[in-house]
Amino acid sequence: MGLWKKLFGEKKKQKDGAKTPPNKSLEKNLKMIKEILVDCDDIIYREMEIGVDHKTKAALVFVDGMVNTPVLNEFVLNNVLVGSRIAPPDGAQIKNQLSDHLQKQTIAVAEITEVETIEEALDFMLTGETIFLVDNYNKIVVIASKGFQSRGISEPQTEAIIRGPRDGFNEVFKVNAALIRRRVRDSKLKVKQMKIGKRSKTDVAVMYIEDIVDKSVLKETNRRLKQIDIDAILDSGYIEQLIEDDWTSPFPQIQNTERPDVASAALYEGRIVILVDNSPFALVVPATLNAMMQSAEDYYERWNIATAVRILRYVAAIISLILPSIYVAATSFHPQMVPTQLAIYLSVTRSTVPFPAIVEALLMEATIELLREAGVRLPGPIGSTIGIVGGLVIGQAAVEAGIVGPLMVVFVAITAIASFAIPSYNVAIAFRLLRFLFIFAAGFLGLYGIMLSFLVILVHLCSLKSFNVPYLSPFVTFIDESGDLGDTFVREPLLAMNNRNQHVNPNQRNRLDDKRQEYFGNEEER
Amino acid sequence: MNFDNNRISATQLGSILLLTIVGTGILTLPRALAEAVGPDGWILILIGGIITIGLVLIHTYIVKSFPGKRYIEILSETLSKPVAYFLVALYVIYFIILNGSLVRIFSEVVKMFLLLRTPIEVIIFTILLVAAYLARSGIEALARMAELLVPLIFIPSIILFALATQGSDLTNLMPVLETSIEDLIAGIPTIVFSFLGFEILLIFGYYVNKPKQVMKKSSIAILVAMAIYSLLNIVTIAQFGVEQTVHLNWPTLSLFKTIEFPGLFIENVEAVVMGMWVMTVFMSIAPLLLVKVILLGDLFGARDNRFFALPLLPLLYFIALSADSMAAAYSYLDIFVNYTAPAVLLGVPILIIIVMKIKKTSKREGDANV
Repeated sequence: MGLWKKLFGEKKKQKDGAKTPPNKSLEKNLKMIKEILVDCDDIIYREMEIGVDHKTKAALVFVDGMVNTPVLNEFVLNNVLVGSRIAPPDGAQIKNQLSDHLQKQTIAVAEITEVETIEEALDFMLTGETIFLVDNYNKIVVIASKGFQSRGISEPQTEAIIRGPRDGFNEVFKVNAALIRRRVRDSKLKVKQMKIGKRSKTDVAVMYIEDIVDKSVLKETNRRLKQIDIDAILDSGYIEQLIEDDWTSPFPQIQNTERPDVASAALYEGRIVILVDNSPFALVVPATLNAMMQSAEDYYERWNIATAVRILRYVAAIISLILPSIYVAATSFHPQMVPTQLAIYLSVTRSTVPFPAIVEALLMEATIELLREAGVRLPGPIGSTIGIVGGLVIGQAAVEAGIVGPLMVVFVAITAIASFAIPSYNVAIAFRLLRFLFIFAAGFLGLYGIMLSFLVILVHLCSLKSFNVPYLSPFVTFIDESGDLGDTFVREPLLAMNNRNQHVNPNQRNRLDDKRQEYFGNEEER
Repeated sequence: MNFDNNRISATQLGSILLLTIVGTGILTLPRALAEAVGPDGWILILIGGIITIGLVLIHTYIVKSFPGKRYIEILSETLSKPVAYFLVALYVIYFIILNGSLVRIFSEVVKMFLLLRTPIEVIIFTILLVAAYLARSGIEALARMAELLVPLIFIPSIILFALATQGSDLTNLMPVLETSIEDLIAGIPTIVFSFLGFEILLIFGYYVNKPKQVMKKSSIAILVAMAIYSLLNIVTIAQFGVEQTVHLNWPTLSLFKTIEFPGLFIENVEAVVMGMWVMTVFMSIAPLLLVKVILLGDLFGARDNRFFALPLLPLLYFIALSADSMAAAYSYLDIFVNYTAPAVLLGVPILIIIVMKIKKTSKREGDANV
């Protein structure tokens, strides 16, 4: 029966986007709104009588706690209630062009609009605006009055740097957009806003610099964002997972940042920034692994120092991926790999250890992951205690108890520290996860297993794309686009950084507004 | 999606060619050359390289003449459809046997140098699985990987070559041009076959976004391979001398084994060499597998050819294990290559070009008559 209905039954029409025009009578309008918002006790209805002779009825409706009450009191209520009595407006004007009159003469608020349906008005009201209904007027006036408590602009927690701006995004999307605008004072910076989430109706903005961005990537971004079908967006992480290229991959294919300077730099490179309301993390597309291995500070410090730090970071990434597995492979398959004295020491210290090397490595790695997870969840001072207890006490005790060899403890500690040196947290956790693959492979096939897993990860990374940009750019196109190598594990001096990265396909290759191009002639067509 | 996928650059094709060629030939080349022409191996490499560039030019000419055409379409346009299907099937078999033997040799070396007690079946199976993963990921992934691995393999190699010159004796190369012309000519097949693998550019040429550059970039790839081979040959002969090289099973690996780093954390670089070598050979196993996957997809007219990657594995596994020993695998491969490679490398391409020319002229004449 169910199948029959499914096949031949009538499709239920979705009651989506019903449009109810407001009534002329204020009473009926208010009744209608109260019916829709039944049991919503956070809504405040402020009814009043305005005009010289108190004849015209009117009402303000807003959500408690989401409006800026002083603004409402001082510039709306005061003007409407008191001001209209002192200087009475002319009657015909009120009848026909109420909003015009309010906007130009009465209400001293920056933004006032008018909507024609109750549903629209309610949508506005639920974002924090105030709606103003007047008797005998069949439109609804929306007064901008958003004002809720928010966290101030504070230093970003995840991307701390020593030199550079200290402001970070907060949860209010308008503030975030303004923080970027302060750094990109260019009329070509576009902010395209949309609402995503059937119920949450979260504000999402796509920001880009019009004449630099790659149009096909912009089109694809908009297409993917419009395709999202979900009830609520609670963080930009939702958006990230809904629009990324390959959901099976452990690697993040969209960069996130808490720093407005990083977001602005991405815009100047021709990338697209996606801001999501209620999230301090902006998304940057297209992302590459190389971009996620960089820190904002690299550009604020001298180039030779920054280059050294970047090389160190790449080394750290490799260490965090393979060091424990090298230990496993060397102890259980290839003792000839290590110098003789070390090999002897290794076998002496491991003689009390009852397990094969792979068990030893897994044991210690699991312990350190456990410590880290516990440390993150606990409040600050207790968290560091956990670190000391775990790192010092357990490591030392484990060696003395003869469960693990001392070299293993050293390697695990180096690995853990190395994985903290990766600037992007979500890349670091991908490496943490893949480290276990390496340990297993090394336990079964030794060095050959390590090479195989390395190849598997390389194949995976090579097949990944983020919005049509290969994930490993510019390393996978380095022969043709060798200029891009200047911003990878080396950071060339700013004086030499005259061109934008080619792999992002920016419209203008040249950073210096074509002056050089004019001078040298149009040498490159891209 | 409004992006065009499955496009690679000519440079990436060149990288694929380079890695495929070097992976197949590098292990035993010094020995084979020492057997054939003694200390004059590098001369033979130059001759062989030039011949190979000639062959590559023929191949790229075909690719350039049929832009946007898959190999099977090129074949059926020139040699009629049934012949095309037959030839493609033969190509698949050719690549299967080539690939299977390569996997076997690879596994034997891994077993000998890294995993003495692991059964060879495990080694064969795991490398095939990883190769299939790459073949499933498609041509773009392969191309990017090739371009990424070129510096990762060759920069350390050149450093290793430099280190391996310590204690070598250049007089080992000395009687230059002592070999007779006949011997040199007789050695040519050996050297051309060590460049085997470039024939995949007929199939991969379809995916290149700028076919005009293929000729230049492929020739550069051959030149680089030639340089590496010459370097390898000279350093090996200088280190061991002809007599000893002839008796070495794996002259290249033995050469790297002579390197010593006293006082460094890794005392012998064997591990580093083996790691790089696994990457190199993988990069010639995987393209050969992908070629078969693409050809099979064309043969069956499949829209998505990724499906063919896994079913090929048992076949390759079987071929790899069919030889009794390494020596047998080598001799099978030699015999097979001696019979088929001339047809694959020279016969079919020449045939295509001849038919193409005839059709062009007849068409022109037809146009003129009308």
